[in-house]
Amino acid sequence: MTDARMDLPPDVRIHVDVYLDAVRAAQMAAGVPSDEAAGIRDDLRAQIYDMLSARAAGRAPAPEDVQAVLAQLEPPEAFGPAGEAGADAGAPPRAAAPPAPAAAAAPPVPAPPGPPKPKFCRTALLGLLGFLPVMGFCVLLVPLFVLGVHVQHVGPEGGPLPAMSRMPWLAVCAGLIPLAGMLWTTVCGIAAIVQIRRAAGQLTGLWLAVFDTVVFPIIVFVILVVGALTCA
Amino acid sequence: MAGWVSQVRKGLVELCVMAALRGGEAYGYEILRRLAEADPLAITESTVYPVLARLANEGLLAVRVAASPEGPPRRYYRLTAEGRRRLAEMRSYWKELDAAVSALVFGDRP
Repeated sequence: MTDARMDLPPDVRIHVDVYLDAVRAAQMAAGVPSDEAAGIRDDLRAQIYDMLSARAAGRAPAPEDVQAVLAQLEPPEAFGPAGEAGADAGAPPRAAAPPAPAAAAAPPVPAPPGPPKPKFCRTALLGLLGFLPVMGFCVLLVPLFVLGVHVQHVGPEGGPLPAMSRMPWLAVCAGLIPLAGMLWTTVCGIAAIVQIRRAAGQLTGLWLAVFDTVVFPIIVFVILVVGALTCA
Repeated sequence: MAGWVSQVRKGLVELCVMAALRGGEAYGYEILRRLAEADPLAITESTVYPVLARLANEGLLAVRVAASPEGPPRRYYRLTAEGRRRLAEMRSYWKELDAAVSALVFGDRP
């Protein structure tokens, strides 16, 4: 499940992710079935957010808050081969809501290695594939069309119809391919922008995403305007 | 002593978790807080959540995922019909066990 409502800053969320990754590793070591393991982590994540929300009391949680919250939880190994109650065997009952300990008091979570390097958004790159059919159309079909027009104009006594006009279905199919490419690029661009905005700094390539989104709509707009002006 | 306490607690967790859901559905952390009121049980996340997942897999609990105002969606658990039957059996057995063990340990038996 993804982080939904309370958007955590990346430097806070990484502590939660590191903790849950360690829980996942412990669960795998214990051979917990994957569906059960995912459910347990979902419960844990929801609990962490609840505790963070209560602790932050309306303000944005800071790294100290998440460290204090995680310090109140059991170490990730408790979800491992030690088993359900194995980790708390003989442990004294914990206070329901202990005061926030200092960050160095009892850190059960390994210190995160720092924010991960942002990745380039793949969706934005995939959007570039839409250029291939458009370029193919321009390179291959436009000259054929021009040639067809040429034949029509120079043919004897009205001349034969151009090839493209004789096969309208071919023209339609040939036109759909670049249209699909344009649509693909634009949709990929929009999806990439959404992904980059939601990734809170973990994805880059916004410039390419914006380019994917606007390039074909702008070209189509310019063509329409030029066409309208030419006809007028 | 510590190992014995742990073993006793382990056996009781399932009963306590199901009993905590007798009054209606609740999400994981809510169940944990209900159980935390029973201080000597010292029930923790690594105890409760795996039990919840296992009971749900066994069909004794039903799970409903709902949005939370605090963050990611919460998983709400409630007893199924089979779970209610099981809880009734467990409660009945617990009564007998409690009476028998108390009599034995504290010498109430004549």
